[in-house]
Amino acid sequence: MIEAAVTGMGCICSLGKSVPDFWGGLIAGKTGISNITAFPCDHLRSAMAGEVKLSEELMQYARKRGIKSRIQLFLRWALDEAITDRDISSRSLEDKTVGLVVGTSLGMSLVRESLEVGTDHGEGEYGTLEGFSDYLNETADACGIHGEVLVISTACASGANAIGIAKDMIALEGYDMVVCGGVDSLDRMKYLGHSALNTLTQTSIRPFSPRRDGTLFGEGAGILVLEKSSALGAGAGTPYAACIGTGYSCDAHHFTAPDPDGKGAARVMREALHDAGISPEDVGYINLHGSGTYLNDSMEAGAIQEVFGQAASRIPLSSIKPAIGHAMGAAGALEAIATVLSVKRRKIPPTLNLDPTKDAFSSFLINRCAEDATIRYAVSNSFGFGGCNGAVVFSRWEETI
Amino acid sequence: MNETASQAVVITGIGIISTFGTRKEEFFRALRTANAEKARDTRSKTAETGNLVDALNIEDPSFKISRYLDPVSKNTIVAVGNALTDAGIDRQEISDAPYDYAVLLGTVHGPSATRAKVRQSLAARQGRMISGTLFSHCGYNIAGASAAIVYGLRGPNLTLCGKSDLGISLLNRAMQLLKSRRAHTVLVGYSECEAQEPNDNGGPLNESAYVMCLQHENRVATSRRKRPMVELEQETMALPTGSSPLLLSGSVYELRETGKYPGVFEKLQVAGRLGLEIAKDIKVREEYAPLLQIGMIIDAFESKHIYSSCALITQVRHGVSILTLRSKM
Repeated sequence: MIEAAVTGMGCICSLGKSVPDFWGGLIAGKTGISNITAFPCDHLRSAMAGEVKLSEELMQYARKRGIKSRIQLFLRWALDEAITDRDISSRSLEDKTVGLVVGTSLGMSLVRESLEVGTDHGEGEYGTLEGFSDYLNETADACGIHGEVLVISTACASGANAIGIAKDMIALEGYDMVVCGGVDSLDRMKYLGHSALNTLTQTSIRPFSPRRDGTLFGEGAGILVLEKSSALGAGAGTPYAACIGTGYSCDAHHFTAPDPDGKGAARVMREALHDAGISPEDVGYINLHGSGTYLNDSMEAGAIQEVFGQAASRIPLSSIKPAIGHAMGAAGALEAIATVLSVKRRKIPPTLNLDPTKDAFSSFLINRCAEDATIRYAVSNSFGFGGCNGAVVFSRWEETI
Repeated sequence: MNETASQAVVITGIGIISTFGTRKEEFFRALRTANAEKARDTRSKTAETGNLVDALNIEDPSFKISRYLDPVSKNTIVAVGNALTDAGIDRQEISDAPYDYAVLLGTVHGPSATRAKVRQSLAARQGRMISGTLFSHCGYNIAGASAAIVYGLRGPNLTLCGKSDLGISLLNRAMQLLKSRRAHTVLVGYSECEAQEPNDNGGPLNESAYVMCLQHENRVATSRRKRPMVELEQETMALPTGSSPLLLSGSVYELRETGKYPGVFEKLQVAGRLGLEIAKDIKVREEYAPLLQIGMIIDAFESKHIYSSCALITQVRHGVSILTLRSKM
């Protein structure tokens, strides 16, 4: 089996603008959910989100590179951190077969291309993923990435699916390296849409709690550098982890609601475990999709019970969405980074806002605070509108060598 | 996932809906001969609304899965249904192994008609609210999701967006899904409705969906359907120095299988160029030209215009893509 090593990571989200900030915030039990400042909140069901506050440093970074939108800014910022983290020059990248795969949901396709989102009443010209694709190609050129450049859009499974495709490009298509992940940005239009769909909570995200009543959205980007393990040069350092399995499935049930039986979610986890060549008993941590909506959490709990059976009661589970919001197309990638670091650092981030006395799913081990754990293998789940599902399996690097 | 299946990939069906209609023979003839008259007539009825299915008088009960569907979703439902029928795959066969059927769609504009409606309704309501139904059909993956719901396709459901090399990227990913055994059948293609776009190119294919059914060869051999159309191989490589005058992007070469020429580049040195380019006055998004040309090659195989093997050359961002098609008919 050819494993894909995770050799670099970069991110930006409401908890911070680097991987250390993100991880430090998660483990400290902080949340980046706050009052929305980027756009007016009148007529919205909630005025809270995991918003990235644009500091002067970020604005200067954007101006210097001619960046015109939040989604471009988040992508480029996280990409730069990941490539710097890998410590590889653009010249060295040109000597390798390198691809770029980025997942996003709606991106900027319903709103104007702008760093300052502001008021939007539906008039004028709007961005599309066509424009985002152009930007991605320009960015790839600037970074010395000359292989395929792909934009994946599978709603909130986009980030996980992008990582899965990247892993298979390394395993099956001769790529030395694929830079991959997800990105998305918040705007008033998305919050109006989710207000209409009643997916937003008016309090806080409480995944797997009895009082869960909706989610809050977030934004940002998560980027991982995957490399063919057998082609790692001396300069690569010790990888964070290995990406050893991935799965895809579709509920084929409803446009916005998950299949309540969780068949698609169970299938995607089974496929990822099969791809990784491990059994459910081997798994030491599951990073939940855990969006905090009533239907999603019930469905995900049922699917985990079906796949993991008795082992489900001893595998620690957690959702980081209460800490960063549901970052849509970026969610799967940010959660993958958290999963990789859980495996690497032997630490599980907490699920914030769990009800202290009641438990909706008492047979599960849902982490309330950061805990130490020896994890050989971990799974990260992502489920999206349209019934698109993705799961990724990471292993401790030491397990693969 | 079947661990012992053959690696060979064959194309077993093609489904189309366009302003040329839904019959593939007519469609490919029109692409070759630039007979766009009928398409213009249909287009005049669809340009403002994106209602190609209405213009073609298609009444599909599957459209009732939702009280609202974007044109890209309706067109995808028709094209996927036609591809499945063309491949001889019935609903029972799908329901026996729903996770083995993947959907892989490309789109540049996605559900642009719905986005336009959302913006119009937002403006009409002074920026205060939008319709939840419309919003839930704004995702770029909505067309693939619609096809999955209608036909019960529970395997991988992926949507690729953007422009650069999209057609070749779709084929690469389809081959990846088959090679990795994540599916034994991949419905791959595109769905576009550019009627609402400000940069409408005005061509007869600006509202269309086109889907090919790719399968493992041994899967076809064990099923009860007709024989496959062609075997497909895809490779992408750097362009060798000095070969560019021969390898014209968008050209189709007939390969002579003499056994003397081990590599595809060597075979191309002695290959004859076939006139299977898309006619110039048929405006096609260049991203999808390779997918349409594959259909034209299959059409030429079926009508006995050519008999053996062809190579389709496409210049891509990172080199050259060579699609080799061998007739199985």
